[in-house]
Amino acid sequence: MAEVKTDLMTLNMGPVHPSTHGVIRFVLQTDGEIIHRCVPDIGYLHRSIEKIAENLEYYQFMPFTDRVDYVAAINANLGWAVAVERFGGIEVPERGEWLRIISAELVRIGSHLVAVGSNSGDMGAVTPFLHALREREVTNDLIEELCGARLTHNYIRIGGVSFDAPTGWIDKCKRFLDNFEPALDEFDRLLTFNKIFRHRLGNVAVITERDAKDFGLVGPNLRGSGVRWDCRKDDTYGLYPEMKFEVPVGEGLMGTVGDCWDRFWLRIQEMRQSVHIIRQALDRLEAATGSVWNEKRVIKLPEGEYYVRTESARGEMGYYIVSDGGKLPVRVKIRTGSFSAMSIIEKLARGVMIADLVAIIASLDIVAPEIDR
Amino acid sequence: MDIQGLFDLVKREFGDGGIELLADRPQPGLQVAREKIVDLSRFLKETPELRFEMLTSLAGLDLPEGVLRTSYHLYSFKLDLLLPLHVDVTREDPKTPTISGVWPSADWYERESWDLVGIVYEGHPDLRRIMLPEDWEGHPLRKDFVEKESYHGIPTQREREWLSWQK
Repeated sequence: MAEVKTDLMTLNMGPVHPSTHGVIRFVLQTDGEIIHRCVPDIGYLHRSIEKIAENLEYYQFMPFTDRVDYVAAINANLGWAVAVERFGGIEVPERGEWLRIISAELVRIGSHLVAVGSNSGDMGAVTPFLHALREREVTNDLIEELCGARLTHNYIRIGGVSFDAPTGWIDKCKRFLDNFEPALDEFDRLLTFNKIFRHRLGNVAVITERDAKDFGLVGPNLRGSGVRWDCRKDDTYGLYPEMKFEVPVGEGLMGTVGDCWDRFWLRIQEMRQSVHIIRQALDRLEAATGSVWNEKRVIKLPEGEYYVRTESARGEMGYYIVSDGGKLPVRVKIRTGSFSAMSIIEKLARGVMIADLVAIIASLDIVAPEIDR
Repeated sequence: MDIQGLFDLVKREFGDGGIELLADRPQPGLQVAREKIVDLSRFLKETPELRFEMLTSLAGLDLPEGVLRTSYHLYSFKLDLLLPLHVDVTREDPKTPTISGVWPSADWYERESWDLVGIVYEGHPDLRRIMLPEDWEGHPLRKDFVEKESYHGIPTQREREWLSWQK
């Protein structure tokens, strides 16, 4: 038998590859189908949003936060608004607070639907992806009625939200929630507990609790490893303390705590919790009166620095603002969940199959603009 | 434990000098000399009553009077405390030791800070550009950064002639 050549082969994956979720590149050294080393290469979507922030007044920066995370734009808006408000001591009217919670949770549902849907698509199951996008279409329609935009919403303002809910919107929203919960059960029957899917994701790419904390994972990826920590509960903001909801964590139902299936299942559970939150907030919104926006044209923050974090769909979204007391910030640093999720891939991908790398990327719910900013 | 109690604990371990409490800031933190940052990080992470297990954020700043600052934000799940640490260096000598040996997440954060602000993290295993191309010159988040007119023949400035129809 002829001698088989067993050198490592260098393989390029991306930057334009259907399963890398945006413009991300991986350089793989492979030994057959096994990954020997995986080096992520990022920066293809770097727009230097942090530099732009230094040249804009605080309220002018709001549309740019949409572009930090365009899959869950309102959550990125909300992080910026909460950061400036807490630093500057700006009040938000009650109606504005409820609209913020409702819109942020609707967008969280939409973002998680993209995450679980594209996860299934990457694993070869294309039909559930369409089921997920069908539901997301409705959340997009609802948000469009609120603010006129479907992707980059620019809805939250410093001191409130830009528009009140139109007539009949609350009923529409309730109708969506009534239809969404059965659709989620259907999704579970179709995909989540499907035997092939469970075996495909269970026990793949286990992230231990220690690794998750060491690499700074946040949000669903951190909770998937069994850490019960959620900004909405533990470092709360807005009127979230008045909401009743649970924080699900990974339990290792299909293998080990912190595997890909745990992170997938966690997002499904979080969508159910978001539905609970929206129902409560809609009831409170109906009872609340008054304006939605405490409008202030000129905002000056006190001298100093402030770090505020909120829970976006991809975990903790932190805004670090340094101010010298003027109208423009000295420096704005945006800390996003995808950046740290991306940095753990090099460690996770060692010794796994190439096909499992796709599962890892999908289960960490990486969104490219959030990494590069 | 609040930040004052934590500072007392740190002072007992490290003595006077090198670490100061910034109590009058909007978010109180510690100002740390660069020689002490690695030992302090390890102490904060590994002391059983503190357990700052997570490096939440790391930001490079370009401040007036030639100061380059690295702001670390540590989080302790045990104490539920967010702790800012600041390490100042000068533009002439922009070097500070890496803490990527303590928190692996610092690896990428420090690369980003080097790339955009130009702070050198000594002892970093792989300090190269992360956001910008490898052959980029300068650090764009410095206040005196001026963008070159073109990059590999691609103009970076927008031509203004197309606006002339407005006149």
